[in-house]
Amino acid sequence: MSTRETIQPQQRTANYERIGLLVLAAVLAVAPLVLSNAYQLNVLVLMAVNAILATGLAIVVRAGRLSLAQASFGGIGGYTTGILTTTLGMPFWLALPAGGLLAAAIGVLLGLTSLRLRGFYFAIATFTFSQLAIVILRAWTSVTGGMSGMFGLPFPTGFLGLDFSDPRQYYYLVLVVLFLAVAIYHACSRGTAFGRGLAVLGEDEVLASSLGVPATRYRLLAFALSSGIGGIGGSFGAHFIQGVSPSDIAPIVSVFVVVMVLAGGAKTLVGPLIGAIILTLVPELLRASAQWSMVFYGVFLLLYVYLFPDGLLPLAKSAFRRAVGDPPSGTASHRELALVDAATARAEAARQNQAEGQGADSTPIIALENASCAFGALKVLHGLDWSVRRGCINGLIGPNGAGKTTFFNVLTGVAPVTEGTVRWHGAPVVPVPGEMVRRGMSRTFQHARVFEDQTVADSILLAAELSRRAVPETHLGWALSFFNLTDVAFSRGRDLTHYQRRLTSIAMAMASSPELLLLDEPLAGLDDTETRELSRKIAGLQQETGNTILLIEHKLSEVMELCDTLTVLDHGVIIATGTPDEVSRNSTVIEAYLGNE
Amino acid sequence: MQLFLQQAVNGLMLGGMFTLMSIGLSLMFGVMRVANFAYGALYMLGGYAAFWASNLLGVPNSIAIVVAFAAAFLMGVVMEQVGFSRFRGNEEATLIFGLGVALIARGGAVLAWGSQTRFIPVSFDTFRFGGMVLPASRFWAAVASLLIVGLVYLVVNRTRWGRIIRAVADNPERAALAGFNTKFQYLLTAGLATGLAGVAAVMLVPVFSLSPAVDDSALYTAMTVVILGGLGSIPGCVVGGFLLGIITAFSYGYLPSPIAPAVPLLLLIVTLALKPEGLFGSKDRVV
Repeated sequence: MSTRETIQPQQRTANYERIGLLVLAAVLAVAPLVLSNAYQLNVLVLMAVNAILATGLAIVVRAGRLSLAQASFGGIGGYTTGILTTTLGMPFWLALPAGGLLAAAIGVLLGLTSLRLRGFYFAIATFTFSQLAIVILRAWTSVTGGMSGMFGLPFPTGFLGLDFSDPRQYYYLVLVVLFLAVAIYHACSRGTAFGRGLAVLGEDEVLASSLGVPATRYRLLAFALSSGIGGIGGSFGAHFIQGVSPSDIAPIVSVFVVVMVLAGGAKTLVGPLIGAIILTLVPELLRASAQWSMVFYGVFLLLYVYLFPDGLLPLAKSAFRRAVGDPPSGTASHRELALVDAATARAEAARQNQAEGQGADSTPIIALENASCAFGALKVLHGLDWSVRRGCINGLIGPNGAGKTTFFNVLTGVAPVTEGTVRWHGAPVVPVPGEMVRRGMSRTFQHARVFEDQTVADSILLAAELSRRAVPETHLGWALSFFNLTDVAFSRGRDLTHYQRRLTSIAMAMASSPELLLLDEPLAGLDDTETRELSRKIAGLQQETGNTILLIEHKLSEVMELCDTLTVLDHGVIIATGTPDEVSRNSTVIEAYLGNE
Repeated sequence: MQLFLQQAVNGLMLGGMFTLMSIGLSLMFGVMRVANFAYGALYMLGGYAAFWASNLLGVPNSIAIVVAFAAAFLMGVVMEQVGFSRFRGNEEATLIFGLGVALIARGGAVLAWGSQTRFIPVSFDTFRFGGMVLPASRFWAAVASLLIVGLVYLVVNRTRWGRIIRAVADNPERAALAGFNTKFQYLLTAGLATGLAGVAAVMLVPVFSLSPAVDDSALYTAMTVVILGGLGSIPGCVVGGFLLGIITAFSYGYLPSPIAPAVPLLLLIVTLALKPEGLFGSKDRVV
């Protein structure tokens, strides 16, 4: 049997999602039969347009950035198609892609700021951007109509006998576009490797990068798609009401879209859509005034943040599960996983050994030549010459603040090499986090970093997939049995013990079948039994896969036993290298590191 | 040259007022690491307190200040107690909570008082020297702003209570171990910070205008000032305030009025892109 079938929780979620989506599509399709007067049809179109904007926004929210500018992208789309169709007389269907592309391009520009900004700094940047857009649209009166905006935008040209001046037909048109947007959102969340990478990027940027997610590229692509969808949605909105004005893109409208996404459930496929439906329909059908709607939205935000921080949809889902007695994902039966056969594990080990065989030359896997690292005026590493010994366990020790973690960061590209060279298999490289994984180097972190919201099994599968160096299912079977994680395979990261987190993080680092594995204080915080057990596992790992390991560790007795070579770092300088015996007799080391106390 | 001097003076006055508008936001961020997105709404509510106090009751400004401060102080304490303390460390939840309160406040303000713009009658006296015109109301608002900001600076840097909140800001755990009630200090700081938004509103509403929608521009102005100067630094807040004031004055003085508002916005975006920690901020800078 293949282990793929054992990944039940995800599959079940997918099933729920598929059923939910079908039900929702059916409800939306028959909605105009119930809500059939002119006013109600208008509300339905408005709702579908909001749902497009919200679904687009969910892509960047998923990738870990809260943007307060989605309405601006809608405005960019609306104004672009508005100007092209009225002033230049272009057909709507030609103008539409232009509107989407322009919005996407500006979205990428805004996305560039997200590479440095996060949290509320990014929210402020997007807020400022939306204000700027308003100023420009107001000032550019000759083209945009200034304060009062543009009027008389044409309906999209009909085809196949369709007439889009009929609100009912317009509604179905927008519905089709909406489901295309949902399909793109699916590709950006769980449907593709890109989407899964994006999702973990949103969860833990550092960890995701260390596993090979090209953070910059993915994030910019996410922004392009998100704002492009926003632009298209905005076009359909503007051409329905046949006008667009600066008030359509006020920051508060963007805030409304954010409410829809979060309240519905940003991490679910149809959550943003549900949010848009509820938050558009309820105020409109209650015939609430703008100010009552505002209060309603505010109350909804507070309810969200207090009562259902995952969104309404996950809330409903878990209520449904309780009602039908279906266990929540994460504790699902996993007996199949226990069946992962030893044969798979051995095959995996053999495959990795084979990979090792071809690199039996004497060039070090990785080496530093006169390498320094400085942050501004603060120099952390001073002109290091160093290389790792292949096929064995190398230790990196030194007192606190010696620069050990920076040393790792330099090798992995997290910290800059301000002087000197890093060589990978003899060739000079500029390490970039995502790329080093593909080259065959992976790492763990001092604090055992795992994905809090993913199960152990999913995390390991993801890590293997992101590295593009291993067959995920094969690796999963091997990793679960090697690290004794089978019992917690379906537990989420946040439910693991410290030791289990540590094991999971190493299993994830191993998922790329690395030639070189960097472990940052793997034994920290473990009790004596766990320390001994993990030490044995690390030694076994090296023997079984034949890879090269470099580890930072403070537990000296374990280091002496475990490592074949040691490098001692103090104040950013290598003060000794050699076998543990040699190093422990070195007087400089004894003075600087072991101390005279 | 005349225009230049005039705009320079206008910019300085505006700078003083912007600084006052932002000091509470800066204080709250410096001590509690909380970005209060309801800050603009609190300013707006303080403005209405001042408006009703002067229009309905006809009380003098000095009493309006006390009323607005007390009302905003109370709201700040409540927000800290039920919201910010609960979401500490969770930036997104903090942001959402602030936005939610702001939406309710703004919608509620329109429902209660209508959306029209209100004015508090001010004297139209002007000072003149060297050909420059200084409206008395603006001049006194700017002077009062700087006095209040100076007072806050002295309280934070020269009093025992200031030392306590700086200690809490620096390291809450250690301050708690040293016997300080950090929860109480947070409540007090939150109250003082939002109270200052109320005071700012009383001082500034006569100069600017007042409507429920003013919360956006107040929040935005305050955010710009504290980001320009460096979040959480009082000297940075002063520098940011004057920088924004002068740049705003000059762009309105020299550029066509539809384009002028873009300049401060661009300034903020460029600052965020190139030096997000601000001119005076370092990552760990407190108060």
